Amino acid sequence: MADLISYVIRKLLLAIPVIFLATFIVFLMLYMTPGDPILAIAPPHASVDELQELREQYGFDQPFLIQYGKFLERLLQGDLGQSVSTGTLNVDVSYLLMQRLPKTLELMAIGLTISYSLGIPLGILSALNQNSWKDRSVMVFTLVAYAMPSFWLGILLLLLLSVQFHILPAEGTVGGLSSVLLPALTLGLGNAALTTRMMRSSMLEVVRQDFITQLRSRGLPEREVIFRHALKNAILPVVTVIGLDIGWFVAGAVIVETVFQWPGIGLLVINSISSHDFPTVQGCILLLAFFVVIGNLVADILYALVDPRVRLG
Amino acid sequence: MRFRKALNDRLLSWKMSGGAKQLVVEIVERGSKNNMVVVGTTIIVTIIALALLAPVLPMADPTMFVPEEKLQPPSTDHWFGTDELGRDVFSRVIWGSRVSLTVATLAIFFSLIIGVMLGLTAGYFGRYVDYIIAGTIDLFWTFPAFLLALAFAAALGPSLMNVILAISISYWAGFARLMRGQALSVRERLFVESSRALGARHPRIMFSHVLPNCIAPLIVWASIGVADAITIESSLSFLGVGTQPPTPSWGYMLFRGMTYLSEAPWISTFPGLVLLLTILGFNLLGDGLRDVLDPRMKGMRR
Amino acid sequence: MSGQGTPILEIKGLRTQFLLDEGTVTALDGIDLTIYEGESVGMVGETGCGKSMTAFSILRLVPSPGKIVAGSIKFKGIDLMKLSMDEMRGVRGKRISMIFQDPSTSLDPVFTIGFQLGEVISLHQGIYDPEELEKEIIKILDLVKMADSKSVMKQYPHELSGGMKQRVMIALALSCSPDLLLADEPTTALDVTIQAQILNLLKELAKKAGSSMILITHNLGVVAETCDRICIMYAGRIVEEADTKEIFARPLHPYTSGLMLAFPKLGEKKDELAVIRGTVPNLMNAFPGCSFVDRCDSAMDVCRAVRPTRIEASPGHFVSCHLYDKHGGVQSDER
Repeated sequence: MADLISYVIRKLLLAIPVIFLATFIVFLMLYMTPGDPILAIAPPHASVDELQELREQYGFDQPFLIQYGKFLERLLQGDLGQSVSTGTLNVDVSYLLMQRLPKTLELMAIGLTISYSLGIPLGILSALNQNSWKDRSVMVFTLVAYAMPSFWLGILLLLLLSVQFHILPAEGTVGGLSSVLLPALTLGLGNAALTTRMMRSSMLEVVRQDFITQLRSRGLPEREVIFRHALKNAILPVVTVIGLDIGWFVAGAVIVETVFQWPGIGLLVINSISSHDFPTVQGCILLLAFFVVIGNLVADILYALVDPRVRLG
Repeated sequence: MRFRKALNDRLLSWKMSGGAKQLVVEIVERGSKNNMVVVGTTIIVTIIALALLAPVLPMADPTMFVPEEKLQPPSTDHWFGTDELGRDVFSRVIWGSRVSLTVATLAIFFSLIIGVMLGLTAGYFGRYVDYIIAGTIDLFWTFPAFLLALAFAAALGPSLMNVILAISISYWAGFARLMRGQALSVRERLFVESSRALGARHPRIMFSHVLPNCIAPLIVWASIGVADAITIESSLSFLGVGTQPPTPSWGYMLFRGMTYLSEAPWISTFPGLVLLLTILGFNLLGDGLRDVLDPRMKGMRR
Repeated sequence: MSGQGTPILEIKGLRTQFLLDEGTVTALDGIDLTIYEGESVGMVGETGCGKSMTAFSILRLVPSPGKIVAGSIKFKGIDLMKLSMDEMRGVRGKRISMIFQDPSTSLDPVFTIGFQLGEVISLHQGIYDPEELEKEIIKILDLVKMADSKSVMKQYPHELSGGMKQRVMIALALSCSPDLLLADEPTTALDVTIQAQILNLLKELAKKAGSSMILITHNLGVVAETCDRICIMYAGRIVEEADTKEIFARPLHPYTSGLMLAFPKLGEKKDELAVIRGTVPNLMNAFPGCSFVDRCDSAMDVCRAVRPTRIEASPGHFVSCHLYDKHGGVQSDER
């Protein structure tokens, strides 16, 4: 237990530089913009005086590191700046983010559920029927599903289901579970393909091992050997890294939300980019990066927590 | 994400031997017997050939508006139909492939250069330099390349050059990881083998020892990387932060086509199919080469 | 000693083959073997001679693409080959159990020791009540002299040492007092210092439970101490079979003699099989004669042409070698 606690603390400490890098990149984004960085965060049509005032407020008249320091200081206070979009002018970015966050979380959670509830059974099916037609078709599916860019998949699903069959509402504006299904499926399918492949190879590796034959020699029924012992061994390395999927889902969410006009963080970032609302873009990217960091952390901790084979060194 | 990690880790563990010449022989001999390599190469060669031949192929001008022929379904005149402005979709798909392929290969080329340089530097100097570079690699490696590229592209503003730049600075970590691992182990070996440790640290010797051992994993990673870069490029274009009109690009074509999904599905269907095929081709090539070149698989029946 | 008591296992003409792309490998080429109640039989031979495959064949757990192609395995009068898969499972672990070579890969790494023992006990003895089950688990762990059974129960395999793991394996194998125990090199993977402990434990417990035992090993020393009878295997066949004392006193087959010579005496250091020249033949090529012929100092022309049959050289001492084939017509002519 003490091992576990120190392990978790170590991992937490390791996450700090990653968060720093994220904040630094987000800060640097300002400098990458063409022209005076202050223009990027100033409301449109701001006067020269107003610009000067902002410049002082954000410390842009001071050396670079101090500017970054001030940026971090504001971040720590939860101040991400104010939106400069016409629709949400001067609204706190943090408020905008919090408003959108539940939508993205909902999408990601359902996407994750879909990808695992599809990927794990398919992977097992594939492994247990290695080299059969079932296995081959599953493998072809994973190749295609994995190569499929999510926006193209989203468009196809929209085309097939909404336009042709009127099955699911295409846009995520109406409530209820059905509206989230299509975008979540789009988000989850690529990851389902990966999960399938990982589950398959993990299962194939496990059933080759000595202890499986040993279990059979103990007289255990085949279904227990496979679905209790082999499955638990094979599934642990697949699900313990569930956190790493967050990165995939964060990237995917931006695209999927745009295709389906799903009002989450992803759509917010894209809309803000096109309306040159730089403070909001920064906030969104930072939040998404934070997701990734948390995901990695969760992966590390789950890995140590769930799998008895892991020694905490 | 984790799939990429698993692949990179696996490539990192490769203990290669033999020179570049033997590698070429291996790729040709064993690759020609591997279905994934054959199918992948066929797809890639076809698309590259079409892209190269685009100026001489008897096709309509991809940017020419013919309002009276707008939204026409596929026919013998327009194989993939026409879009909302009457432009030939087939022609635009072919011209679009030039953009996608150029952006992707250049971006991966640049990230390869960055990765190789940083990896070698880390291995050459070791100690603090390695510590700093390794840390930076890990940091970039943590974030999905698409998210980084989106942030950079959003800041830099939409343009072809910026997309290449954004992908390059987002994707190099994988290459650097492979290179650094190899460089460190070669450095250690040279220190042990060479009585004159200083001589062994000569950068050219490092380079000539490290690079040959790295070529195979770098090729696999680059092939997968091109597939990823095409995905990122088209996604950025789709989101409007990538290639800008009037340059024909697959991502933007799909975005425009969305508006006409019910009346003219071909506008987005065909570019999407070709996009999917291209990505599939590079993924297949990478996966196949991974199997073919894996030193542990040598001598085993495949 | 042999030939007494009731036979518990009778193997006749057992052939196990592996069908590979390159050809068919005959791993077991007509094994005849009888095990009597309560006795322990050593199976000795080089790696790849088919010792382990005999054990896997008895349990019908030959790994794919291997297959038992001929022969019968009668266990207490029932032909195991004719049992359904379900009936076979009733035999495995309950009537016949097996201990594998490497304890570190033989336990499921993600279940506790207690769970794995409990699983087998409830499966074969129908004990489901948790308290009763725990009592039973502790009882069996105490039996294999495990220190602190209560905490071992809650531990995962990787938390135990190699010797402790093998104790657990023995506990698993003996939990249902099987009639026959197959021990496949049970001490090879262990530290030299604990090999003797484990071996003695195995011997003692098998005797206590009244189980017959087949002890598979490449170490003659181990069988000399443990077994009543010894079978020498070579290239998928039993080439000699006799009581332990008899075989050490009067080895008949040239291969057996070679093994005895190669066997290091106390204080002597020797590469075990170095004195037998040549290597094990490729089991893929079907060959009409004796498979040892290329390595045999006493080889004759007949050895190349005709496969020696099993003869009883003296009561209870069987050998398959033309040297002792006094009545074989072909051979006496050639001599």
